[in-house]
Amino acid sequence: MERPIKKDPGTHYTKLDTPSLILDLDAAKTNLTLISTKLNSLKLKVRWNVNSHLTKDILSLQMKSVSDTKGISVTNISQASVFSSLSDDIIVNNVVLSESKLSSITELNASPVYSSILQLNKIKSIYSGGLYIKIRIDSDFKFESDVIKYLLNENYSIKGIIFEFYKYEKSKNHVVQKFLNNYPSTLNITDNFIASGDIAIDDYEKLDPNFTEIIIDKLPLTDIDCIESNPQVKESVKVLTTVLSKPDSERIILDTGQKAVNIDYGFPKVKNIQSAQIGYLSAEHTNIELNDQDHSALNIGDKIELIPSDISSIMNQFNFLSVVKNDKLISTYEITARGAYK
Amino acid sequence: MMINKIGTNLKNIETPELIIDLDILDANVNTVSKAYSDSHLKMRAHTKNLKSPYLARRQVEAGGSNGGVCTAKVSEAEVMVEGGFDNILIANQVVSDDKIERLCSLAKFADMKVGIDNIDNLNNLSKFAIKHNVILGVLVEINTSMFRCGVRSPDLAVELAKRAIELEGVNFKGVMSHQSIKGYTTEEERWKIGEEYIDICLESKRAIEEAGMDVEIVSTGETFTFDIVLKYPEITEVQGGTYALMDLNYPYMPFDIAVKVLTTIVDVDDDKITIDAGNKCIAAPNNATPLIEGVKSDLVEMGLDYSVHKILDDKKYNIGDKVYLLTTHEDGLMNRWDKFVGIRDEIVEGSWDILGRGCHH
Repeated sequence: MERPIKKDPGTHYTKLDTPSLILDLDAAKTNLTLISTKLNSLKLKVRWNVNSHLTKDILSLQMKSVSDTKGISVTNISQASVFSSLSDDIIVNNVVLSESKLSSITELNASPVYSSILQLNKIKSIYSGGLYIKIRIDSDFKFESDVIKYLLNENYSIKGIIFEFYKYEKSKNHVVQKFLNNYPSTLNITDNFIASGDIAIDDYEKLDPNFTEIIIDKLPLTDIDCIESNPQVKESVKVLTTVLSKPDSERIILDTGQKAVNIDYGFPKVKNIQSAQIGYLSAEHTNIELNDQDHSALNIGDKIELIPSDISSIMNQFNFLSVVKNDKLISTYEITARGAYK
Repeated sequence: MMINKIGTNLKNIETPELIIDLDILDANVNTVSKAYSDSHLKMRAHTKNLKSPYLARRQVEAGGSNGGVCTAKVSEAEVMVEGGFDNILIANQVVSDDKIERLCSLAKFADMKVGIDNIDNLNNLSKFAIKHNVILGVLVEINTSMFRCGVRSPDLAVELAKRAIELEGVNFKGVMSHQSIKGYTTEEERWKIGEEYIDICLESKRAIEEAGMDVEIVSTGETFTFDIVLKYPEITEVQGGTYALMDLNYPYMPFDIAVKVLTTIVDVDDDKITIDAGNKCIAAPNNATPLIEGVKSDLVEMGLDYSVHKILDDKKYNIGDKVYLLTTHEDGLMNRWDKFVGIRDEIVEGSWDILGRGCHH
């Protein structure tokens, strides 16, 4: 049996098998140009968070489009292994504890990230390589002096500091400033101050000037949240679905459910149908209520487009992206690190 | 990719890992086998949950099965036909021309049946079946409680059955329904809800018979009604999905949870622990949060690759400790993984591909 179902280049996107995850290549390139232009005006390098797209072809596109690329951020060793052919500057932006994983980190010349003494204590007998320190800029921000003392006493080689925002917040600037003004010299680091989190393009320039890098998450891919935060970007991703049933006069059922469109971070949006209200998504279906006019205009088999609520989790559900240009399929990108969790 | 090899002890397994406890799986499957072996109805395992021909084979071979399976999609049916099954019900509608073509192709290798709830779709199924010189079995889907696909009245069920009998290329086989229960307070209430839903399905079945047509298959019931269905002589098969691996949704049923995600605690902060499993490897839809096995805890945060849990009991945890995460949505969990590891007595016995994963089309 043919599997997965891929159509020939030139196929109009509405003729793709559904549900399909579709990338508009021109929109993606426009988004990358926006980033590149902004970064050129600042002294920031970019580090791509491949955990958001899991796709080697997209990383290649990102690196080709934005010359100020420093490296990549991955979440685990499996991802590092997948993407190591494209970048030799890899931060495993997560705590790694097991000996075999730390050994792989050394082999890949990657660097792990730590945020507590407990974690560092756990690995000190099995890992002596360099590492990054991660600081979450949240309400209970704490990076106590005893951590600094510990790091110095244990002779860890600190390669950089990652400040993890949840979006940029001006009110947190003083926290970053305090840290950057006091600790780097103690820790003997002068570079690699990295801002991460879902920071909007317009907020890049509001970051503390000491930052040398920014980790970019979703872009050039977009979702509901990304478009709201970055109104200047082009919508680049959608999910194509089919009307499977019109079981009553106010409802349509789509052939797409949670197994394709993850709803753990919210419902998707229905494109181009004003009255459409998503009732719920079960494993294989989306249940949509709409008004008489919209209901009458739709037939079983018609195509409906959804905008994902969170692109990162949805990329992990599909095996490939259908890449379109001028509404025609030009390629498919394998989602190379899908399911790479270790 | 890191592989947890045969013979590995649980404590040395690299995490996160999808684990199936084979003893629990066998016990769950045997419970159904015992219930249905000598009964008038049989299990037709719904493989949209397991997505693995190997696991489906274990269900069928345990006994009490009619030898067939259900799937939710054509692509899942393709996986099961490749896995050697020759009696498949796609318990869903298939409406796109491309997919109907693939369904017809499968009908050359297996007895294929599909749900219907619309005349135009039925006509289309017939048209393609004639074109491919195959027969597609059709079952009218009856809405009983979920208000998604399925006819809303016995009259429409009768109309569809009549039309199916008139058409070439399709063979009217019967009726089907699927339902869910959101929770209940007593066993009496579970039976009442289950009976209420099943009666709606049977109402259409009887209406079709009263209109002079034979109904060969009544495919209804599921994990939460696996025992209730036995009282209905008209039901011929049960679409059991969750029971084999189980999740947190049915604590009141006589099945245990066989599928779990083994995780490692990567941080401890006062009464909170962070583990190395998040949204990517375990589903947490509709605020139905996963739980840590054997630990009183609340989910604080579900990240993509980690989750934070507040510990509500007195147990102390250390970084590096391993804990199991249990899901509320077995379907979604299995769909996130490419392989599962089977263990018995805390030792890896093997790992199997989840071949139906990602079969969205």
